[in-house]
Amino acid sequence: MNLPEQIEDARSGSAAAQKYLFDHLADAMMALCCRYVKNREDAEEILLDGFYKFFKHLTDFRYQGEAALYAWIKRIMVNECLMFLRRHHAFSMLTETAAEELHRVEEPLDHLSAAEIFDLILRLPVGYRTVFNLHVIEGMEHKEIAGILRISEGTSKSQLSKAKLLLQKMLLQRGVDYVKRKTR
Amino acid sequence: MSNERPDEFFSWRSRLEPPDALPAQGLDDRALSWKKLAGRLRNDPQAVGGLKGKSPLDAGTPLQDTGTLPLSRTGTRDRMAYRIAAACLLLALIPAALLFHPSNAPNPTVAPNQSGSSVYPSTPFSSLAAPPPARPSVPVAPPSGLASNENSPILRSGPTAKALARPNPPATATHPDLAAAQHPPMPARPDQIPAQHTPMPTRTDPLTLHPDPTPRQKDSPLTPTILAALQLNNDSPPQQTAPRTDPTNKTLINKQLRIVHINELDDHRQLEPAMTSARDREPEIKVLILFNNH
Repeated sequence: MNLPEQIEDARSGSAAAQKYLFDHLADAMMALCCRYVKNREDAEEILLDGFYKFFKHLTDFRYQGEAALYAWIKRIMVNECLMFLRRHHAFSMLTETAAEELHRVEEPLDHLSAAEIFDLILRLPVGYRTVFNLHVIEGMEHKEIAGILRISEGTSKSQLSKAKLLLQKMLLQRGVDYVKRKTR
Repeated sequence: MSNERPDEFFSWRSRLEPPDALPAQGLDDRALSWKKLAGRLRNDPQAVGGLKGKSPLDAGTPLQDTGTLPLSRTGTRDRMAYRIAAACLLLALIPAALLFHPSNAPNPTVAPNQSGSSVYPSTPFSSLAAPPPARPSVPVAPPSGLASNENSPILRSGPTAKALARPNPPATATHPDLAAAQHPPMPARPDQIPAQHTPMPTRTDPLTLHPDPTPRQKDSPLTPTILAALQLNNDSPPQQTAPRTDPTNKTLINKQLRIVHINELDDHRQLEPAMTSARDREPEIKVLILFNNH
């Protein structure tokens, strides 16, 4: 049975179809939640809340391909993560400060795997990480991020700049390690 | 920012976006997680199918987020909070309602003290320097012109006032001679006295002992009774209103204070209106105190 039929059955309340969709999407969505929330238990709770909303509003979803389904459920999960973060972190306390000038570091980026990138992102402070995830990974504009996190646009930009600076420092460190590893 | 380069981390997005990019970050126990989710969906029959609500993108966007979780998690907490709040409210309101109930409110005008005399409201401190107000004279209830003693505390409140305020009180004839003049001899049982219904006098002018009734007095249904009482016995004219005309009349000296139960004067059942509440039907002791001048 293909994905549109499973979605149709899940709309009508079929538990088997719902389980199929859950199995099909859960791992990717769990990774997404973990990118925003470090704690895996919290991320799992967010995942279940997101899937609850997904099945609850599945009747409103019009299937237009697997990419559309991914985009839709990804947006639900990101919203759930941001709701969780807003409950536990005061983004309004983030301040707009001038960031240091970034030096372009290109080489280490090419040698990093997805898991290493994921690990680097998780090392960022929550404010930097959230803005970085929303801007770089999700592709949101600063104006949109400012509206979602209820911060100013300048704060969003400065948070992203600091996140990039911190990532570059970490990348340089990793790059050194990577070079050392390669030369051994 | 000037130092921002949009394509700097572009490759990261392409590496993290594929669903199978991070297989190690998947669920630890997918079956257990599904069991939790299925239980939550089963408890909410509206969760799947037939629910036409807001899109989760609209309902769950952080812009419109009010910090609430789905109903399955917060519903019970909210209900408990509402119940606790309602219980606290009731606990606060019940004593207040009992405290301010009208039955607990003190009589602001006259309250009897232990000795039975009337107690008046406390005098303000500012008025203590002034000479004390004249104490009202001993209440006098004349057989007619009751309204002339409206300031009497007995007439202002209490059961006597209620009795006097009734629409059709009986004409009171307390003296034996007066009763003999109006009625046949007293029967053996007091409640069998024939009723003599006369409307409540509303006049406020003082009673005079003019032998010839004025045209206004002629209109009053009590006028013959009053005149008869005055002519026969000169029975209890108000001291402050009616001057004594015959101080040598010996019959007045022998008169004593007499308390007459109102049931002795008339058939009590006929005094009650047709539709009365149970509270009104409670036996009330209605006392009419008649004072003599001596």
